Amino acid sequence: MAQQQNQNATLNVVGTRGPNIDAIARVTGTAKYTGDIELPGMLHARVLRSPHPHARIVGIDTSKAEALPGVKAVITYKDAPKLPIWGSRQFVMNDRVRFVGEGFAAVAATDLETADRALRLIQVQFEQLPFVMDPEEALKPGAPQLFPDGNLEGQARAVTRGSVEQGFKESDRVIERVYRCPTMWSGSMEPHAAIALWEGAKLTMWCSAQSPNRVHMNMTQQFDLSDANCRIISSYVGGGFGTKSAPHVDETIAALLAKKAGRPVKLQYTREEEILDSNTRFEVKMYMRVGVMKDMSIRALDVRAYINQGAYHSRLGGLGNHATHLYNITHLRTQQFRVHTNIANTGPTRGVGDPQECFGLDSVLDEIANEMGWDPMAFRLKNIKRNGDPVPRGQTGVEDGVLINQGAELCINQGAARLGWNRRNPTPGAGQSGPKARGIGMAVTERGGGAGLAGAEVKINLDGSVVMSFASTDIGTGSRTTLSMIASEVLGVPLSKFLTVAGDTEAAPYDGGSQGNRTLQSTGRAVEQAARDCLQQVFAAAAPLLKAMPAELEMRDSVVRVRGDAQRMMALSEVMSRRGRSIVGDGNVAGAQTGMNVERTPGAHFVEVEVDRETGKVRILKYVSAHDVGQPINLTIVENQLEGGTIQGLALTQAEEMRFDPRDGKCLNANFLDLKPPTMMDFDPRVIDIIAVDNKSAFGPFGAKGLGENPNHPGMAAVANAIYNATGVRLREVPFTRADVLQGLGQQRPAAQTARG
Amino acid sequence: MDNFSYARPATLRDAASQLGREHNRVMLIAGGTDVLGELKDHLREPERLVPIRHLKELQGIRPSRTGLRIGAATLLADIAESDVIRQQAPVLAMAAGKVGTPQIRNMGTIGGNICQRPRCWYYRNNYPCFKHGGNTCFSAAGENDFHAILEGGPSFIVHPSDTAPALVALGATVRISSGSRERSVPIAEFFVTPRQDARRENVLQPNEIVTELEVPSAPAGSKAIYVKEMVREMWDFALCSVAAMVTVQNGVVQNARIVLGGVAPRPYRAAAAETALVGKALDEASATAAGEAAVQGARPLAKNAYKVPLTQAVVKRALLSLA
Repeated sequence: MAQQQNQNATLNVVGTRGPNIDAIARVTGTAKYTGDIELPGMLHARVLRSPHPHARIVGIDTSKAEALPGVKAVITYKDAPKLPIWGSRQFVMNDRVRFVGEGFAAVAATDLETADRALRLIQVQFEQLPFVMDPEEALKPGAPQLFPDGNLEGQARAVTRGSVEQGFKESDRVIERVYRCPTMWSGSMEPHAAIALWEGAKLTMWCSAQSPNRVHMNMTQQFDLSDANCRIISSYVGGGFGTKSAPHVDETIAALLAKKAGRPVKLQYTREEEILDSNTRFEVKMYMRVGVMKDMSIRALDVRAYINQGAYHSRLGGLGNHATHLYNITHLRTQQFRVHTNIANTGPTRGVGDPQECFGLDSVLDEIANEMGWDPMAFRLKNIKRNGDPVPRGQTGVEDGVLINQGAELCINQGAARLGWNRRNPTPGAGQSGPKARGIGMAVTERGGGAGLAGAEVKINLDGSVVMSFASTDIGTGSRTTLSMIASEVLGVPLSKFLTVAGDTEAAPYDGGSQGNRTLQSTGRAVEQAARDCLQQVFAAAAPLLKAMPAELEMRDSVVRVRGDAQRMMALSEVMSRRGRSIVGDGNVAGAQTGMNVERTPGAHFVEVEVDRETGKVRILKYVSAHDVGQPINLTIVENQLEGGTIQGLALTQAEEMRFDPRDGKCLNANFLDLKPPTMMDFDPRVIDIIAVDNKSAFGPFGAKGLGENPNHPGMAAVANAIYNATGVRLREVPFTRADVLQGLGQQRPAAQTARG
Repeated sequence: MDNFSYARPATLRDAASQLGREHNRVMLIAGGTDVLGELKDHLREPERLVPIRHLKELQGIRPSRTGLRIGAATLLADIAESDVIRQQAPVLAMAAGKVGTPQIRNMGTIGGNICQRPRCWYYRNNYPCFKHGGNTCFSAAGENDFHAILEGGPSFIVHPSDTAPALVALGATVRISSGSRERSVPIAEFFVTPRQDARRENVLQPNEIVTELEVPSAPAGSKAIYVKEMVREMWDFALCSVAAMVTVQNGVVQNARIVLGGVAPRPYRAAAAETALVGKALDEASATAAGEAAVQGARPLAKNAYKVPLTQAVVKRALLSLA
């Protein structure tokens, strides 16, 4: 696992390449994910789920299930605390179900098959209620109501700057278009899983969570526990993408069953359950109106968005900040209606509303640029915000801050050069004969990162080895490695001396968890602080031994040295054994951004596609992802994140839409065969080019910026723009199916020949 | 899945004797790539499973008087890689190689592949449709992107098999045994339309087992190809597929077999396309005409009209690749 030599002379570890420190453990199976853990006497749980999108349960009889040999506990909504799950309107189980797949009873048995059989013995009487699936329909008078206070959760970030109506009057050209991103699967390879163990009044839970402390908060509330009587462990997590950023019902169900049975209980979702009940990516329908001046400036933008939150989700759920932080727009209004409907519950997924907003905004900008005969890249370069431009610090849109360290222009220029933007045919679809048409498109994105509380603890043992504990998790982003590299850089102790304890609320200080581009910038700063704390203690201990002042000391390769004196040095292990006590350093940080300065993490994607005009197939010929990454901590991991996020974004252009039958609200494709997530054969990583733009942050550790979300944003817009450039067909709904492309090309038979049901 | 009994028969006769007079109470299992999914989803809940993959009567690829005899338990992977099949019936090897994934091809058998149940998401989600004994096809007025444009109604499933169109193109014969009685059915008559039987996809009786496929050698001088269009590049069923086999002499098509998959409830022999081609030079014009003829009579549903131009293009290109 040798790390390659650093190009930056002042840094030894940060900025190098290298594999994840837990890569071998992960691929050989010694890393234990929740599903791998077996406890003595452990039971297995299954959940009974609603077949109806909206119903009241008027009768339930569990006696036959309870009588089945092997069944150790049966619970229903009657046993569940009447407390909403953190960040949601949902009780863990309720007598009223609001989506197909919502759990309302559960069984723990000695094996899964018995639990499964018991579920089928539970007799339920439903009173079916009218249901609604479309967010605009749900706001109309007379629509079925999910909650006493209606279906509208509220508005997210309503922004009004200037007067859009005035701005449209002043504009030389105004267009209005509608874009839609459907409810889409979120993509975690590891389904939700939880194991609950009660020892007296203490609950220990292993679960697949991004934020163990949020689960901890929910468990202490649901079961009225002291903080000390609850321990949450999420050591290895097989992806989260936001669906595991909040507590989920599975954890409470497992704990309720374990309490009733008096034995530990494991609840692991099947793939179907994971798709139906993991709080997936929400649908957004966007009405975008934009007005421009002949000088290529954006005069006005009006965004009206309907966000389909599903049944319960009430926390995040708005669009991103592209309209306020990426482009200079004189008159701006955004309205975002967050609506409850009877489809699968949703939540934040990689980028939250950024990919959807990027699709809408960077499509409509591309449309108007094409209508005006402008080069879409020149149009963006004219309007993107640069250092010193005003940006909002808060949620209101008032531009009370100043943008710093913005790399959008760098990303655009480097990406364009790598793809060869100058090859782009300025007239869409023109000059191409034969069935296959090529086109080039681009999209720009941005995001913030690094908010909330973070904590870490670093301990140096008597032999000089280091244990680092933090309660955010490594959900596949490589944070176990990058956080260790930060501590290694600060301390001057090689990575090989490190052991990490990740995602354990009992072992580490409070941390908000791994989501929203925050782990590296927030937990990373806590780690840096804890390591500096340790280093000062090491110097204090070593100074008298080396007959020097602490300020004269430095440590490299686990050897404490007197600067400028090659004779006076002592191994860390010797310092520690002479000291006779371990050293503990801690770090706690709150928020990463201060003062008037606002720092963002922009990126730009460029793509060349080939559209088969006869079969509707869209193939990616070349794709460039250029992202402002701040100071890369580990270049291999940066590239891995950018490549993975890019492919995940491209997947949304091909499939992964959850398909619901409007007649009964059921999801028809809750499996890998029908949902069609891509395989390695679909998006060849060799056609994806990654550019990590080194553009140091003022806040992150060693200038690092968080970037996990961003590569997921621009794929839909960039590909739609490229398809337009290739064919002249504008696609305003994802995914881009054969039907959409062929219909757009007008190759379908006349509608008169269509036999409708 | 529910409990079931599992008896390992020693012979074909043993296996057949365990089958009853109605479908689904006792089920055969060979590779299990379809059956196990059905059991886990509670689509069918048999009392008993009868494994047949090990039966020696179902093994082997052997020469016959007219071509090859392929045991029903032969793995799809073995068919895709068999030198003798590649030589004598290349379209079958190509089709077998397009099934699912390497894992599925290494478990799934040719007999199972032609007998697999529909992939319609209403059937797989246990809607009470024709295939589950009901009287409705939920796709007709529902989410029918992947359903039939030809020969549909009252059920609009598409036949999911890749090997079936190739076998129809080759004019194979299905050997069937009930233990005491054997029969041979030309493969084109093995599959049924929903109008003939909306519950089933083939003529197999509850007590019968497919034992063997007799596959005539492709005509001398013929060329063949199997083309499959999918949403993703692998691990997918066909949006549309075509098994095409043509014989060209002196620049003129003497004989053509064009069979479509993924667009009709059974492998669909596009006779009009064959007629359009025979007697012509194999070129852009005749291939385009054959593509258009292939979808003659197509009646797309609300969401699958794209399959019409897609099928035209796939047929045209398959033919041109043989020119």
